[in-house]
Amino acid sequence: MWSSIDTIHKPTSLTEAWELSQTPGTTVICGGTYLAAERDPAITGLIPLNAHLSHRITRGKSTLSIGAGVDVDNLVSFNWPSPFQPLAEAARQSCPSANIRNQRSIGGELGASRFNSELIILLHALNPQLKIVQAQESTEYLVEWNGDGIIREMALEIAPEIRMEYLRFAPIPSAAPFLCVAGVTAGAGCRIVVGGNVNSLRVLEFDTNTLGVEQQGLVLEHAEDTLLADHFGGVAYKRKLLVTALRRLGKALCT
Amino acid sequence: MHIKFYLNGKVVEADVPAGMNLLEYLRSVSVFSVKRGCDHGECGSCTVLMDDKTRNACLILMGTLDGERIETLEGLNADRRMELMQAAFLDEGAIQCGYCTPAMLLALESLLRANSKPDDAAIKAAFSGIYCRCTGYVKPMVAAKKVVMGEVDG
Repeated sequence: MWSSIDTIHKPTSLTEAWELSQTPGTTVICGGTYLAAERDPAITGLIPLNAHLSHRITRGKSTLSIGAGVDVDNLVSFNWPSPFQPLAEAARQSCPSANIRNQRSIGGELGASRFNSELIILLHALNPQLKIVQAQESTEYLVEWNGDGIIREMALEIAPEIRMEYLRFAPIPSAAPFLCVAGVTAGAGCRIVVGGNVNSLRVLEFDTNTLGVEQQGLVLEHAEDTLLADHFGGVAYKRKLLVTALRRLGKALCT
Repeated sequence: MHIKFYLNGKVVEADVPAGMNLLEYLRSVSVFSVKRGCDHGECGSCTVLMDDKTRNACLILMGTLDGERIETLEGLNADRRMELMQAAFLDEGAIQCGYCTPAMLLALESLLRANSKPDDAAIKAAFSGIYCRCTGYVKPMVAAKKVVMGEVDG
C-alpha cells in the first residue's frame, strides 16, 4: 500500500496532465516501476499517462517515431534497421527482468534517466529529438532537455552511415554496469557518453568521426571527475578502466 | 476510489484505496496464486498477465487499472495448455518450495501465446523476471521444453 496517495487523477489530455503535475506533491506515472517501488511519502497525487501516450513504433522515410508509452520489451523485440540494432541489446541489458521490461515505458526511462542504464547512455550518444508537452508542445534534443514537461514521443533519424557501439563493465551480465561508455558516429562527427556509477552523464561531441588518441584524452579529461568510488573500485581504478574502455570503443567504432 | 477492470475474463468493480496495489487487492479477494515476495518488483512472485504480458502486481496501482485485462493462474486452470504445463512441471520435479511456480507457469503461458515454438534463449528470457532460489531453473527449463516439443504425457 502506498498510503500517502489520496488522489489518482484522470486527465483528458497530456496538456491537462502537465498542468496537474504542477501541483506540489503530484507526479505523473506511466509504468510505475520506480514510483510504485519507492512509495515516496511526499507524493499524494498521481497522474496516469498511459491512456494518452502512443504505444507504437512507426517507421517513416527518414525517422523512427517511438511513442513514449512503448514498453522496454518492445524495444528489445523490435526489428531495428541495421545501424540501430545495438539499441535492442542495450534495452535488454538495462532491464534484465522481462516482467519489468513489460512494465517500463521508454518515456518513463527517459524521465528517470538512470546514469547506469545502457539504454539511456546509448540514447544520449544518439541524441534523439523528444516531443515535450508543457503549456505548449516543443521539440528538444535529449542531451539538451532539462527534464521539465511530459515526453510524448522520441524520434530517431535513420541515416545509413550511423554507427554505434557501447561497452559495459559489470561484475555479472545481469548487474548494472559501474562503468559504461557509448559512442555514435554519424557523418563527419561523433558523440561519446560516459555513464555508470557517476555523478552525471558526460557527453562530448567531436567534429571528426573517429575516436582517436586525442579525442580519447579529451573525453578522459572531461569525464574523470564524474567517476565515483564504490565496492568495485576506487576512482583511480575507474579512471584506468575508462582509458581502456575508450581505447576499445575507438577501435570498435573504426572497424 | 471506484474502479472497473477485467479479472480472468469477468468484470470486477471495486471501491479501493487509491494507493492499493493489485497484489494486495488480489490476495484480499482470495486470489492466492499471486504471491507476495519482495513487494518491490524484484522477485516476480506476484506475476500476473496484463494484455498477455507478464507484469509484477506489486507495482500496479489499482487506480491505474481501469479497463485493463488481468489474468492469474486461477483463470487458466481449466485451460488444456495450462494442464499440460502443470503436468510437465510435476513430471520433471520442477517445483521445490513452489512459491514461484504460478509465476513461472504464467511466464511460460505468456511466451507460448506469442511464440508457439520458442527456443531455449526465449524460454530463459521469459523466466528472467522470476527469482527461483530452489531449482536453479534447470528443471523448469526441461519442463518448458517438454511442453514446447509436445512431449507431455497428459
